[in-house]
Amino acid sequence: MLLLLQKVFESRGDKRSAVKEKSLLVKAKIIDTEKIRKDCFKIGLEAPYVAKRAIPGQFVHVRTGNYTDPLLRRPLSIHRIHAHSIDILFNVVGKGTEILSEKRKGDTLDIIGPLGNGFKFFKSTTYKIIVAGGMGVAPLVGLAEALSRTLKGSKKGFTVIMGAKTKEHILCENEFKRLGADLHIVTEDGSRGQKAMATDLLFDIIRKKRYNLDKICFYAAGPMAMVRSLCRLAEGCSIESQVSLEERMGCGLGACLGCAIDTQSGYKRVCKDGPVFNMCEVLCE
Amino acid sequence: MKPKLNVEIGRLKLKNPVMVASGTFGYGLEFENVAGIGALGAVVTKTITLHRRVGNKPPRIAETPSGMLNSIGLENPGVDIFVNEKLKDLSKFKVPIVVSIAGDTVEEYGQLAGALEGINSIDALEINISCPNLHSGLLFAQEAGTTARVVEAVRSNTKKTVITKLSPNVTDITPIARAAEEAGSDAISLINTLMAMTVDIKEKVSTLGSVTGGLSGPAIMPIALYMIWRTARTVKIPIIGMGGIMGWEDAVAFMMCGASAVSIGTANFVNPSTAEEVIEGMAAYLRRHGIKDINALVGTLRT
Ligand SMILES: Cc1cc2nc3c(=O)[nH]c(=O)nc-3n(C[C@H](O)[C@H](O)[C@H](O)COP(=O)(O)OP(=O)(O)OC[C@H]3O[C@@H](n4cnc5c(N)ncnc54)[C@H](O)[C@@H]3O)c2cc1C
Ligand SMILES: Cc1cc2nc3c(=O)[nH]c(=O)nc-3n(C[C@H](O)[C@H](O)[C@H](O)COP(=O)(O)O)c2cc1C
Ligand code: FES
Repeated sequence: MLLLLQKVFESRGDKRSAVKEKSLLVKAKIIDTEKIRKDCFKIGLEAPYVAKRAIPGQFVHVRTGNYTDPLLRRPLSIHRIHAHSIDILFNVVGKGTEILSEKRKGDTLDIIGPLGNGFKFFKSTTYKIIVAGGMGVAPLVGLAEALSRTLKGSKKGFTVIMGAKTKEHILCENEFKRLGADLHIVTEDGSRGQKAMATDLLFDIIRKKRYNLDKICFYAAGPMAMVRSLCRLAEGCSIESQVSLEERMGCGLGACLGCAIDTQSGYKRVCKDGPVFNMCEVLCE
Repeated sequence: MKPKLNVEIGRLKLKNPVMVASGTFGYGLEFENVAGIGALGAVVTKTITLHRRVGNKPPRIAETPSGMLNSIGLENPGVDIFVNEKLKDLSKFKVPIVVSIAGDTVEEYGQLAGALEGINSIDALEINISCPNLHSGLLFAQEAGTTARVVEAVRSNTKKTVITKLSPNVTDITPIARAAEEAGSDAISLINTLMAMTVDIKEKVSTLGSVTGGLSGPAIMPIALYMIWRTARTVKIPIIGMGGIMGWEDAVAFMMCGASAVSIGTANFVNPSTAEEVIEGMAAYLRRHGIKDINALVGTLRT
């Protein structure tokens, strides 16, 4: 009898979790918070279903407070994907991110995710170069982890070019090193590496190593100025090159059409058609 | 005791008075993985036009204190793709469907109503007359005369329930509501967004690509309540109230002011479960207060 009851409960539990599993609306427990430097934070979220489904480049839509101001959710990239949890990494730039930075271990965070398309992988012979500008590094760490897994066993490596404002703004250096990436760092003030923009260094590397443009593939995220100059460069290169873009969001679900950006083929929704776009789609101007 | 939640809007019978507002729920399917669509009283779809519209220049959204601006610009694929693709997807949820329509001219409203008339899965039409009238720069909903002409054009082309959605950007809502009623509208829905803007002083530009936009969210709720209260004392047809509803308490306030049903808009972005929570919250409220039928709540504000 007891066994039977247990069975019934179990099957009920299963049903409930099946429903839960379908929903992208998740109350995620904060299992870890870390201040990386001034105004930059990392939060670990227990979210097994999000972790199970997520691919690098996707994002979560985060409700920062319980009141009506700030009202809208904040889109944040999935920084790293673990077995049962995900990490987000963010800069404090306004009200929403400030509230987020005050969250503590044990709090729950209301998130929707994973959302968006994420980066695509191609089983091709192109050489992969990751270009990260500023906070653009957030989704690219998860990407690098996935990339190094797919390259495992082959002798091929990949390059990471990271641009930051100053040496204090350099993020995730160790993560990339641990993955065995060929890492290059530049800063805007020259406090670490060359005083240059990430794209300047990229042009140098391509010239020096005599890379054939159509044999390389870029994965990029960062400020729009960086993205544009990269897209101009990428015009002649592999169509596999992809970039993660940002726009203000309402729903995050593809419904409100609030996150539209203009592309070569007209307006696209960053939350649904993106946030990752083919570089040849992006308008360089 | 289970309170009765059913309401009637024209010939439209709803299992509860909670809908989702046009433009905030897409064509339904987008919310499939975050909301229980089948539980809703009705889904009002994103406004469609005869032909495809690409929408306004980005950025199209800006947050404001307890509100948001939007300047989407009625981006939609046009009536044909709507009927052949979007409507088919939405139909599977077995929820009443209200289709929001807009045109640049009175004739276009009539044509759209005609084009949708034979389609059984559509339960009602909502006339969005808060979209820019290209001919005079005014909204159709800013004049009683144009409001009446649009409603007549739709009414003469459809037997479906007709809901007219009014704009709060007017000096006096009452003659316009009366015009819609007299022209044959079965119901009125209000409010649409309030024209508004915000400024980026660093760049000396508007925060929106199209400079001006529409304000929605909790910030506009007091205005919405006032407009509904005024309108309810003017017309006999039912009112669908919206504007900043975030929870069941807000919905109860709308009904007390005279709304027969409510619509959830911006809140869908903040908490996609809002509509379901409002339905449950209102049912619990009725139970606590011994009210057997939700219709008994409508217009009960003591003055
Ligand atoms: C797909 C995507 C992924 C992102 N990933 C990250 C990340 O991993 N780490 C990180 O630090 N930031 C990321 N951002 C940017 C992040 O969303 C903004 O920094 C954040 O929304 C700012 O909120 P706030 O309240 O602190 O700032 P406020 O300036 O007060 O925000 C006001 C409004 O503008 C919006 N907004 C402001 N800046 C941006 C922006 N750059 N992009 C989109 N909306 C913005 C806010 O969401 C809010 O609606 C991402 C943006 C997108 C679109
Ligand atoms: C992003 C967005 C898009 C909207 N699009 C439409 C639309 O296409 N047609 C329409 O009649 N109303 C549209 N509205 C207005 C809403 O339906 C609603 O009337 C208004 O937002 C007030 O309700 P709320 O404060 O609950 O959002 C839109 C509102 C928002 C926020
Ligand atoms: S944020 Fe609503 S469509 Fe992208």
